[in-house]
Amino acid sequence: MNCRTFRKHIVTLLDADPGDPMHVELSAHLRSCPKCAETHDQMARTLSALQPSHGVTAGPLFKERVMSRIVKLQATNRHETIRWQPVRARVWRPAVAVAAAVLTVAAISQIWRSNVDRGVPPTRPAFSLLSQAWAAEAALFAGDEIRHCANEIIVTPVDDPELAGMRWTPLVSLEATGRQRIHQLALAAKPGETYTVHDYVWYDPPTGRFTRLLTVGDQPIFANSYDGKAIYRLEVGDGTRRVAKTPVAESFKPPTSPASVFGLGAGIRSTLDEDDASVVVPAGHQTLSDGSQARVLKAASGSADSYYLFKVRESDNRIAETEWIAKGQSMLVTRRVRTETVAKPGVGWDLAEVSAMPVGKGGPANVAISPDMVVPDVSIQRMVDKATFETYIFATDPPWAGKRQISDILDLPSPPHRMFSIAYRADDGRHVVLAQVHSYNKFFGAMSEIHEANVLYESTAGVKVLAMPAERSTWLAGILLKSARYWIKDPASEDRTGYLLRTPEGTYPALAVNGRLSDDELHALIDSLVPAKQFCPND
Amino acid sequence: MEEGSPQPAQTWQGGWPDTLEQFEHLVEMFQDRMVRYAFRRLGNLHEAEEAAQEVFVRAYFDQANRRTTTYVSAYLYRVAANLCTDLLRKRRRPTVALEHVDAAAMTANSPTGPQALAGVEEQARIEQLLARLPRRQAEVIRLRIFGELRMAEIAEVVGCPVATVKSRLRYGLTKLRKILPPQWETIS
Repeated sequence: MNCRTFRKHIVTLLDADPGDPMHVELSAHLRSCPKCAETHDQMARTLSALQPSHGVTAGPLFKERVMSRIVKLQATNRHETIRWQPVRARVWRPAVAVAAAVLTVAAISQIWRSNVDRGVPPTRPAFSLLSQAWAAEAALFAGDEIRHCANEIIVTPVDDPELAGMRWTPLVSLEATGRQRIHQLALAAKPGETYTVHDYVWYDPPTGRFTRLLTVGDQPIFANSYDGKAIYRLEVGDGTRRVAKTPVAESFKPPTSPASVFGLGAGIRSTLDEDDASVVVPAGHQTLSDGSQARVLKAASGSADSYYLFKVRESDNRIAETEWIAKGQSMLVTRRVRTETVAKPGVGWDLAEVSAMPVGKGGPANVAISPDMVVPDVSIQRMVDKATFETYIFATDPPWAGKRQISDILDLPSPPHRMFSIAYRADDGRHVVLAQVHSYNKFFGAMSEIHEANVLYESTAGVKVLAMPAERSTWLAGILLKSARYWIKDPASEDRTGYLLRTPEGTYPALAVNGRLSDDELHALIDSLVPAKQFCPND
Repeated sequence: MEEGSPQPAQTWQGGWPDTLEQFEHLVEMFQDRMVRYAFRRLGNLHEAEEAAQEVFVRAYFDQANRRTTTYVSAYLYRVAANLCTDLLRKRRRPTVALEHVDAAAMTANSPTGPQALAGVEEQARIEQLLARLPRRQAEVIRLRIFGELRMAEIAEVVGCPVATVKSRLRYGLTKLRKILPPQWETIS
């Protein structure tokens, strides 16, 4: 370590963390360099001089008064304590993946817009209300008896052919290993067409057994169940149908949070749950189709006319309905139509009734399930194998960052194409995310503005950094960092930076850094980008 | 940590307390810091004690919000900051800068009397110095010195990366070093 680096990082010594490698290096330099030792002494003296010698302290009975107030409030129930399920931020939650896919793709249409809509000012109470509604949803799957819920997923009539064909909803299934997988249930329709998907769930809280069945008309399109010994899954082929049975692994455990697997809004919930509250705003009241009153909460993420509505019934504070709005039009309505306790499941834990159902002709041609919206922590080899375009990788990890995480994500606008997010979490907060997306390549490749954009830097391998207005750079970085939040954990910082790149193959990777890079750091980072296939033998 | 540098205060090591007994330990650990912080914002020791009590009461019951926080201390400071802002707004008067208030008047009804008076006078002098720094650098130094927070905790309170906190702290301390009256270092 040289003196310049020491002075740059000198305040690291203030936190007593001798295990930190930077701390070790700084301490070693401190012992060997009298000049830097003097600088350190000066800093220490400055801090000591500011240290108040006459500290203001709490009164002698402060703690007792606090505890007394808490006990009294508990006794009078003035504060309702809700037992939330613990958030295990370090555990991969499949539903978070939906955010990764949606947000990354959402960036396409926004990057080059001149005015980015920042939406309605956020309110914490709205988020709290939604959190309470999620807690109420979780409570539906608790108790000693079998719980049954039925939902309707209504594909609403839309005239715009593009919008009509792009509807989907996340679908979570459970594997025999205990792993949750999240799929895309594509619910396309012709312009003006409408149909309803019926979603039935039976769940036995004491044993964790469950059955989930989705049908359109009399045709089952998805089924997944657990009978205490095996996982069953409906496999639908071209005119064929069979139920596959797989005995559970020794390590298998039934879902601890059943609502996150088959509750209303499973797959959407954690997107908001793990995120900050800034996307949830109140949006008035509405009378539901059953005549009951609901408070409407709006969850938006950057676009004024595309968002989710959560309708929370006022009488029981539960989510009664969710609605997806795109470009101001209703795309999908998911409605809870029944919740009850039953003596036995309507469809057996082994899906026997589904196997016995006659195979109908035709069926819903526009309904399709694309498996695995997101597969986290994949290898470079898998990325190369799955990609339908040339992918790049950092041959040298950014020196300030930690372990690399590659996620393989379904490219929502153009399934079955996949996109890939390479994320690094950095101890100094300057996390790095590189998104390589088929839809980006297609979209930007067709834009004349992109071809005319100034080149800020070109690497030795021919990767170019394109000039981008500051606001768009910040917005792009925000989206990419948010999409990788499950890995980098921290919220995006104010001084984040986004870059759009162009490779010699004509692809457009997007790069985000959660902070500022010096020119040298940026150039080194871009220089280290090489085609991933070259890197595979060393992976 | 090298000898001679002021160390951050003891850090709460566990997760969020589950029982009243655990919560009592949390109160014990943070009560002085919360009162000090509120005192600096409100400029009145009695109100500061009331506000700090409310911070802990809210923290105990507010499980929905606190679950998204990594650091207990950062959460408490954020609640305290919001609470003080609300109180100042309700008073319908602007924030009282500590360097502009009469210390004796402020502590006249204080439960800790002369000690608080000396503390107020000293903090007012420190505030005069901090007021000469850019606002963000001053806030980081306040949280470090008076909040006794670690870098990562400060980052969570102010909502920026640790690297940014470090750079604000470094620049702020460098500037302070230049404007610090020589006798201060001698006193300390």
